[in-house]
Amino acid sequence: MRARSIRGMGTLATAAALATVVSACSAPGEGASGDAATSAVVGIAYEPETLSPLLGFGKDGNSKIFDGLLTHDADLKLKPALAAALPEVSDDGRTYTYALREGVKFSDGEPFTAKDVVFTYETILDEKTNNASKGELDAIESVEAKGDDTVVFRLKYPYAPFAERTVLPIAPEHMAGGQDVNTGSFGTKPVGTGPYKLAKWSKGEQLVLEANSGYWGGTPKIERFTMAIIKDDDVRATRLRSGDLDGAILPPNLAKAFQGSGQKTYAAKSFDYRTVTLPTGNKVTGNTAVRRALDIAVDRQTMVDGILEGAGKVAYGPVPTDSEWFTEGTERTYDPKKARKVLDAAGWKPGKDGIRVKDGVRASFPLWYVSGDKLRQDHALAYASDAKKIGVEVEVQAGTWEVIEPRMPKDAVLAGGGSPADPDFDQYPLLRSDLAGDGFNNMGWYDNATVDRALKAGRESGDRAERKAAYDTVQRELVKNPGYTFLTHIDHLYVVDDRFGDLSTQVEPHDHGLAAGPWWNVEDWRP
Amino acid sequence: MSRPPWGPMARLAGRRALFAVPVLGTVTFGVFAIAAASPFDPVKAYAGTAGLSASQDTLDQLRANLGADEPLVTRWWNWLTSAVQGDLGDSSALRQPVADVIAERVGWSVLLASAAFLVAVLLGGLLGVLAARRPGGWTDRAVTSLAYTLEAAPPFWLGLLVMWLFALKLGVLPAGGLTDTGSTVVTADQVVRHLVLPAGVLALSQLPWFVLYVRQGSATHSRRTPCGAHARVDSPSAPSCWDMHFAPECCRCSRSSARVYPNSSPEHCSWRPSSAGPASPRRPSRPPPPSTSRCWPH
Repeated sequence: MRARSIRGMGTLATAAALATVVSACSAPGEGASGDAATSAVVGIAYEPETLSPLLGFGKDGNSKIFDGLLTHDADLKLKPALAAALPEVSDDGRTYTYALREGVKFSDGEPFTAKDVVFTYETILDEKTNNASKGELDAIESVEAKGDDTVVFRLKYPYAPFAERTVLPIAPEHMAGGQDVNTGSFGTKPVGTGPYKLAKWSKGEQLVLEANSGYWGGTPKIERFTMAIIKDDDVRATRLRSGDLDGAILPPNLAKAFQGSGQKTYAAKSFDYRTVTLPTGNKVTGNTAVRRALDIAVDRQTMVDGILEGAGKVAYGPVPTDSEWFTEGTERTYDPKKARKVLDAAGWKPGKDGIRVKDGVRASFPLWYVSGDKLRQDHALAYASDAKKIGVEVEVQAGTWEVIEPRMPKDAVLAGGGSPADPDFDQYPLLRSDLAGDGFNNMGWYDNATVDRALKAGRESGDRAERKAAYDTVQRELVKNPGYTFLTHIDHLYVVDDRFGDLSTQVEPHDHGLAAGPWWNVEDWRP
Repeated sequence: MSRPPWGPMARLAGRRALFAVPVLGTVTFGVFAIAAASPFDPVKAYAGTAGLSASQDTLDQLRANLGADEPLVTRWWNWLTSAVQGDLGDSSALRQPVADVIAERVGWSVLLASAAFLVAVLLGGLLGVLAARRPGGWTDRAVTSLAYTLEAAPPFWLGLLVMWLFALKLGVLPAGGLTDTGSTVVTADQVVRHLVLPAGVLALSQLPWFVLYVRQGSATHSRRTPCGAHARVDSPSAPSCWDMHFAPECCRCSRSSARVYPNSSPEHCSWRPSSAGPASPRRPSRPPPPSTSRCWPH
């Protein structure tokens, strides 16, 4: 007994000695964020792969370091940035002319001119440039500088939402032009015209921005804006609680814990949808009766309340119910009884195990979600459970995109997406039959001639009413033949320290990068 | 002191270096082959989330630009021939030349590794020697069990543990990074505070083998040394063999051990039981005969 206690003490002593050695090296701690509200540190989940706009950074605008020709206000309306005004559009909708703002300088002091705009767009469209988003600029036929202060875009086809694409950040030709676009140092040491300059970027750790004192829109009051890259939700919440962070994006269950504790919670509305693809090539999911039955058999409100803890909305299509583009009357009522009748009427009769059968085909299909994505997993399981109640078997399976992609023509996938800027951005690639199976476009191989025509009309017409009519047609067709079961639109939750005052959020896309959240306009914060 | 055997050493080094060529060739080819066989697509990885809305044309173009469409052997050969000439290629994950990526980080890695190594060697030497002083004693048992426990603990788990304790629970040390969040300048005190946990964990994970190695060396010595082992039995105040590390002549042993082990000749025993405790080591009047070299098995 005695020998054991002595041994125990020895272990303790060793441990204590180790602890002393370890702690002896530590200096007194100091807060990361000063009390002065001139700096802010926020925690985000993802960091950009590159800071070069030529490779896709900030393509949806608001990149902090750069400006686009246009930018979005709080309501996502376009307003001029590097352009002096909104573009002049020719009658055929194929020529966009931008007059540029005068006297703008890049943060290295060099003037911004039309040549930089031409350089940026031409480089992105160049075959040798590894920019996976270049398809978004597909409409461009040519970009031309007229003098130093005018740029003219000519389009291959009329493309109504083109102005939305010109929020794309402009890179300086004198910096980025002389190096390899794909691997040059511009991607890590960018120079732009934006409200902030890059002070430091430690990949995987933090991105520090410093106010650009020469910013044409006025020097930001928040002089230093740091984005800490913290992938793990729990770690982000802990660091927010410890005061290391002033704000963070959090999942609903973690955000709840911060209510009324010196922090404010902001729920940003979004176009970020979760949907189930119902591939046309599968005998079950390709069947219109099955599609329509599933569409009314899923209990969307329960998903919002249970999975999203109320932080979201039910979704009937890519367009959220509170969007101006939403078609009234296309809401679906949760009605499993009616769903069963639809299946009965179409000849899907319950088999011995309760799963319906028609012409020897069992009403059963696999549903894939990306492994590790808890939110998609929860949606998939809830979907399967609702489908079971009407006699449709959904086998939920997890896999990486490498596993899922080759199965997409036949198997259902729990997919996500959403771009608020224009209805064309979501619906065209999601529903056009000629884009079926083109990369990740139209993953469900949706094929509906009426929808195809409406999508084309919506894209080409410059008239707001004509466009609205076109997207109404699309949404009504999706009620008749729902090739996807849309489930929810997800709110993005942010918690930010009180001392920055009342902040606002924009309507956010699926990919809510570093410039989303209440800090979308950090340059305008006046704490 | 005889001259080191330069010739044989050079030949050995040369042979090893020559042998490394096919080994490296095979290993790198193996890595390329495994990558090619995996379902992981470098183009999808490069495109990231943008790839999820990219058209097939764009993806195909990316594939061609990245050279990912070339056959395995070509890709490997291109990489190998460039690498030999000093061009390590570009990192598709970081969008930077690989050489730059390495150069940016190697200094910090060296700092981390050397700090950890220094702590491991100092602490490991100390604990190992302490443990070996009395093999089987409580210090030894404590140190040895600690060493085995640490050896069994995976470093990543240790890392999570100390992060949980020091960063989350106690809040005394940062959980990660080179400097504080929000700081753009690298200052020495910040680096030191951020170095403690990673270097500590790295040191702890390297500590066990070093402790056990040092202890084993000393303990083996002790076991094989008649004087040490028996001196302890004979008299509690007798020096253990540990002391003899520092007295190469070693045989400061008791007369009794000399009796049991006649080979350790009594005239080399400088130690005699006395009320004043162990005498300070003294050089014997003449060098020990070869038979006493068993005190130094190495």
